[in-house]
Amino acid sequence: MEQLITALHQTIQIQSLLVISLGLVIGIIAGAIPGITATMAIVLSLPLTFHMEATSAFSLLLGIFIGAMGGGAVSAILINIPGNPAAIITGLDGNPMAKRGEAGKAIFAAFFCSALGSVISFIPLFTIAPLLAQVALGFHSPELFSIVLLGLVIICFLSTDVPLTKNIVACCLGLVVMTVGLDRIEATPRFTFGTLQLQYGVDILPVMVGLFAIPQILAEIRHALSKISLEASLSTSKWLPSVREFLQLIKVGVIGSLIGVGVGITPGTGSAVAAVFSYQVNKKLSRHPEKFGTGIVEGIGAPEAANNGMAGGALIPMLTLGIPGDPVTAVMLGALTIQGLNAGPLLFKDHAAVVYGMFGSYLVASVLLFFIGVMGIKLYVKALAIPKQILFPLILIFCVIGSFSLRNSFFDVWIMFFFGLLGYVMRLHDYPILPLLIAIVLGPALETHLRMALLTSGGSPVIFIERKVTLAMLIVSLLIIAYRLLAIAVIARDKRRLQKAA
Amino acid sequence: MNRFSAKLTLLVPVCFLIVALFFVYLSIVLSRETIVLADPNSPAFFPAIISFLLVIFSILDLLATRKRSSDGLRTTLVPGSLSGRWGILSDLVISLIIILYILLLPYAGFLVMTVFLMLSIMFFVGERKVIKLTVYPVIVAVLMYYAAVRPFHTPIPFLPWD
Repeated sequence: MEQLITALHQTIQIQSLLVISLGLVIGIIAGAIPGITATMAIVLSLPLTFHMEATSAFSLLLGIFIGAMGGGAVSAILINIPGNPAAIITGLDGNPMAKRGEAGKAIFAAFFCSALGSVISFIPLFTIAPLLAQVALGFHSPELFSIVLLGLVIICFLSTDVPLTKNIVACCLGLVVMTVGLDRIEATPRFTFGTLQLQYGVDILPVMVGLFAIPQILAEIRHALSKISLEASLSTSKWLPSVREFLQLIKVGVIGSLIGVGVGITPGTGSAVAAVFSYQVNKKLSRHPEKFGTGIVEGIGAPEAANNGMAGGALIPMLTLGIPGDPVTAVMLGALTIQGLNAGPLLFKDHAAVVYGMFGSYLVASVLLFFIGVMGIKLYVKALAIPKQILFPLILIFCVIGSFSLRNSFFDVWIMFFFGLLGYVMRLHDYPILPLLIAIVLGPALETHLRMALLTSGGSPVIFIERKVTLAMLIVSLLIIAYRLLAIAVIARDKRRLQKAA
Repeated sequence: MNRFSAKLTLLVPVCFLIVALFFVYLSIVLSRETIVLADPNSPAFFPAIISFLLVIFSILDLLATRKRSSDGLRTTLVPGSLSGRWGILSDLVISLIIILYILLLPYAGFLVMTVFLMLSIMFFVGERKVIKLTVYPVIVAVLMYYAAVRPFHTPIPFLPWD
């Protein structure tokens, strides 16, 4: 607690507040512009943090993260185009309200519940994360290997959006990419083809920039060709909700936040799942479920609170175990690596000031989100009007500068472009990006812990069965694999039966 | 799904399989240079495991994709967002512009190449107003250069002779 108070004291200094506010503004604008995701905004801002100390860097990134989660609602409400996947649900009630001339009230409700979600999710983040880290301090290479493996199994086997084989291929590709460069134990060059640049390995920044930004830029420029004009209208006449609506917002906000935290802790789920789940639960609990979808503040508050609540939940496994649950936390994990820090239990022990600084920034950013969100609404509406033929080339230039600035080398720019093309081809053929990125982030830890564990046991894999935690994690991993395979078998059987019946 | 489209759908799994086999080969070569493959001390130990896994799952993915395309589950090669008049052609043109940008940036400098990039993309997207086509790229190039030099601390070459 003392460390948090010290961190909060530092966070409310004018410089920190400015950094957090800047992050929030960038995040809200990025979230509001369709096509720019929270992940992309954080990735593009990473080069800005190279010359910052760790706490300030994460104040900026957390500000962007929280801001982008809240900002997605702006375009969903005003033009019915969601800024992020979770905001699709927000648009169901937000856009009808905007059409009735209540856009101001809808945006107020969105930012209020987003801020509420972030503040509530801070409580488990602050209480559970240090405890989990304390437990994890007793873990050694076998346990850490099994935890990382479990994270990858969850990402590959529990995501049902794409075929299982595509998930695993993407994950293996990421792991293969991370073996390029000097071996982490023997320092032997691997797959470098005699080039000096590849000896340092493939840096995560150009990979992330390429995977997330280039396919999106190509898609957005393609969309710009269709010349769809968007007109955002904002009625400022009705801003404040009534007392009854305000109480309803608090109710759906609390329920949504708790759902968001629960979903956020589970890797591989994402904010859209949290938003949909929260909307459905709040609709069922409502006295007037039939009004959901017609333009009511609860329909905006429920997904927005869950969306932001998820952010705090997702940070728990990321910080304590080094397991990112979604692209944003995967990028945040990469940002930690760039700052020379390794996520995991030792982070809480060796860099407690940075961790509590992050907690402090998270809390302050959560509170500021509401004020900056509501006060700057006219700015965000203007941002929505930026022509895409100017905006996306601008982002492209940012990508080039950001990749170049890593080592002042055009080699990294080519790496960025290569992974951009890979991401584009993968998207085109329904291969998911998330397992690839998470494998790239977790690959070094997976290899190091596997080899270290085997080296201490003299090459015997029995070490993974002897230890209780390791055994439990491996059993959970096997159960997840069995569950998914069983589900596939059942679907195939039902399909065959249907075909026979037809 | 026509035959050509079905073949194109299989192209990516085949490419991944080739990459996987290439890494298996590289791992074996690496293990010969260092220590035996099955030894955790060997730098080829982990890449070999992952490459073998990639080979197995690339084959499974290839078979699954083939089955899906024969079942007609994927009716077109390109998803809806990519179809239409411009479709992949737009992406090819923009990719070419990006390649030229990165390739010529060290020689022509940031100012010239950024003006070229902005101008070509704006023109490609349909901007025909001469004032916008001349003013915007120059303003963006200069502003972005200062963004690169100040917050990013990047010594990117500004002019051809830098």
